[in-house]
Amino acid sequence: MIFSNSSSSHFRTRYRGISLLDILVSIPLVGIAIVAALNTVGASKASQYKVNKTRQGHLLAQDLLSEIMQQDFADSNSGLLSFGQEAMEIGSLNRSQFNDVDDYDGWQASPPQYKDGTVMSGLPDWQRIVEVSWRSTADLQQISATATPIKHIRVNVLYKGIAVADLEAFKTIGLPPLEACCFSGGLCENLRNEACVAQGGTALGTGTYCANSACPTGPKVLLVVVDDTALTAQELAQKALIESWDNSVMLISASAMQFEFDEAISDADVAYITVGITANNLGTKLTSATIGVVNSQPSLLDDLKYSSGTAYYYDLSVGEVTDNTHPITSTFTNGSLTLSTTNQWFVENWTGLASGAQVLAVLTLSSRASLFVFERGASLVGGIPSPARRVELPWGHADFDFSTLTADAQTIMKNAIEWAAEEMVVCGDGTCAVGEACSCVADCGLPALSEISGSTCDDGIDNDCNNLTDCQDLSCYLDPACAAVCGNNICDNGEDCNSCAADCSGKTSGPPSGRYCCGNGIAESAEGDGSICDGNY
Amino acid sequence: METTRQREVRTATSLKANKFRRRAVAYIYFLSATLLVSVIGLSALMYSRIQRRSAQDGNNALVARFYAQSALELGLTQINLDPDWRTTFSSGTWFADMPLGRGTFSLDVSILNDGDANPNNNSVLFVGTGVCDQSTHKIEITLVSLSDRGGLVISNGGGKRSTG
Repeated sequence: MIFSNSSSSHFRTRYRGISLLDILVSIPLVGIAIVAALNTVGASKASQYKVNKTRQGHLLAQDLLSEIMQQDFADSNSGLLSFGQEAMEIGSLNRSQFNDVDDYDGWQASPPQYKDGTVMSGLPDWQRIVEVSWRSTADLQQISATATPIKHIRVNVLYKGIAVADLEAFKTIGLPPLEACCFSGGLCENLRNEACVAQGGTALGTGTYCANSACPTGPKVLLVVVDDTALTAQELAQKALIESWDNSVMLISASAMQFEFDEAISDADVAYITVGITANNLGTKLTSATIGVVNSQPSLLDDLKYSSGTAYYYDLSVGEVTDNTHPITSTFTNGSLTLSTTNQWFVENWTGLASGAQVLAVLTLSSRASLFVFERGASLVGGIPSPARRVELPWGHADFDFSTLTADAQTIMKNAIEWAAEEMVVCGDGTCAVGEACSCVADCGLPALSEISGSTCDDGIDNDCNNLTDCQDLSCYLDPACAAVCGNNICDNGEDCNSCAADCSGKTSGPPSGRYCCGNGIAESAEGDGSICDGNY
Repeated sequence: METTRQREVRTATSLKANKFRRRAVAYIYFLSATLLVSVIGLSALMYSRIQRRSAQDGNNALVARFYAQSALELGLTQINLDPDWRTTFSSGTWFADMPLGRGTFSLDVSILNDGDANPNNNSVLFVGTGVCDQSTHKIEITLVSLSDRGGLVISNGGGKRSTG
C-alpha cells in the first residue's frame, strides 16, 4: 500500500504543470506577441505624434496665411507695380511694418514669431517660410514676372527641417475701391474712380464715401494756373476761396495743350483765369470755350476778344458800382465800394472795349470799365458773338494780394463765377433752379401737397417740401419703389428677422441675453458691436 | 478483481490524460492572451487610423477654407477687371474646379434681381467652394450696390458661411 501510494504520488509529481519543452516553446511565442504588441503601441504613438505635429503645422500655417490674407493687395504708396518690401520695411526683424501681401515674400522665421516680433514659446524646432508671386490671369499656375492683379501666397511650415504643412491661396485686387463721386447739384454716389469720371462726376479721392463727404453744390471751376503741380501762394488762396463757396475746382496749367483744355472744358462749368499766369502761355485756348470764363489777367483782354485797346493799373482800394441791375452787383448799391483792405493794383480798360460789354463797375479815378460782363451771344471784338458768358474782374496784377480782398469783393468774385457758370440761383428770374423748389414760389410755384405714389416717389425730389424725400415720405408707403423685397439678401426697411428671416438674421430663442432681431431698429447686445445688424442696414 | 499492476496502469493513463488536458488549457490561455493582445493592438491601430483620418480631415477643411476664399478673391477681380461685367457675365458658375495646391476651387454667382428697372443696382451673391480631398468648404458673400450707377461693396450683413 505504501509502495502503491508512493508510486501514485510519484506519477502525480511527474506529470503536474507544464513541461520544460512547453515553456521553451511558449517563451519565444510570448516574446513575439509582446514585441508585436509593443511595436503596435509604438507605431500608434508615433502616428499620434506625427498627427499632432501635422496639425500643429497646419495651425501655424493658417495663422500666418490668415494674417497675410488680411493685408492689402499692394502698398498704397508704391502702387500696384511694386513688389516686395518697401524702403521702411527692408531689414525689419519682424512683420510689424508689413502692410501688403508681397511684403511677406521670402519671410521666414524660426522659431515662429507673432507679427510684433514676439517669439512663440515652445516651438524651437519650427520654421515658417512664405513665398509670394504674381500669377498670370490667363493661367493661374503660371508665375508672372510682371505685375498682375493676382498674387499667389504659399506658407510652408517645417519641423526639424521636414515640411509638415503647406497652405496656398490667391489674393487679388478684389473689388475696385469706391470713392465719393460728386455730380452737379451736389449729388453724391459711391463709385469706382473710372466710372465716376466716365459719367462726368468728380471723384473725391480714395477713402472718401458719400457718408463722410459733402459734394460741392456750386459749379465746377476750371482754375487756370501757372503750373498745376506747384501752386503759388496766391493761387492757393484763390483756390481755397473758390472752394469755400462750395464749388469744386479742377486745375490746369496755362501751358497745357489745346486738346487738354478742350477735355477739361467738357467737364467744367466755368473757367477762372488767375492773374499770375503768362498771357502768351494761355493765348486763345479759352476764347471759343462754350463754358463761362472769368478773367483776372488783363493781358488776355485781346486774346479773349473783350477789348482791342489798352488797360491800365491803379494802386487803390476802392471802386465804384455803376450798374446794380446785374446779378453780380445786385447786392450792392450804386456808388463807392471798398474792394481791398490795403491798396492793391486794380485794372481798367481804357480803349477798344467790345460793344457787347456791360460795364458794372469802374475805378474811382476814372470812368472806364473795370468790372464788365458779356452775356451769351453779346458782341465781342469784331462782332463775334460770345459763345458763353464772360466776366472781367478788376484785380489784375501778379502782385495782387488776395488776402486783402474785402467781403464785398469776394461777393463779386463769387457772383461772377456763379453767373458765368449760369448756375446763379436768382429767385424771380423765371427759372426754377435746383434748390429753389421749396424756397422760390415766384420761379417754381407752390409745392405739391404730397408725394404721389406711383409717380413722384422715385424722382429724388422732396416734392411736397416737408424735408422727406421719396420713400422717406409716408405718402410713398405703397409705392412699388419703396417696397421691401424679401429674399434679396438685404435687410430692407420694413423687414425684420420675423417678417423676413431670409434677409434679416436673428436669434429669437434661448437666453434673453443672447437674443436679437435684425431689422427691429434696436441695437441689441447680442449683435456684438451692432455692425452685422441694425447698426449697418 | 483489479490487480495492483492494473491499477497502476490505469492511474498512469489517467495522469497522462490530465497532463494533456493541462497542456491544452495552457495553450488555450496562451492563445487567448495572444488574441487579446492582437485585439488590443488592432484596436490601437484602428484608433490611430481614425485619429489620423480625423486630423487629416480637419487639416483639409482648413486648407479648403483658403481655397474657397481664393475663389471669392478671383470673382471680385473679374468684376474689377471688367467694368461691363454686368453684361459680360450672368448668374451661374463663373469658374469650376480650378486647381490650387492639393485641391480645387469653384465660384457660383447669383445676380439678385431687386425688381426695379435698373439692373445696375442688383445685389450679387457669391458662393466660393474649396475642395481638398474629402473636405469641402463654402463661403458665401453678398455684394450690395451703394449706387444706382453700380458701385458694389461686400455686405457685412448678408454673408453666411457653411462648412461641410
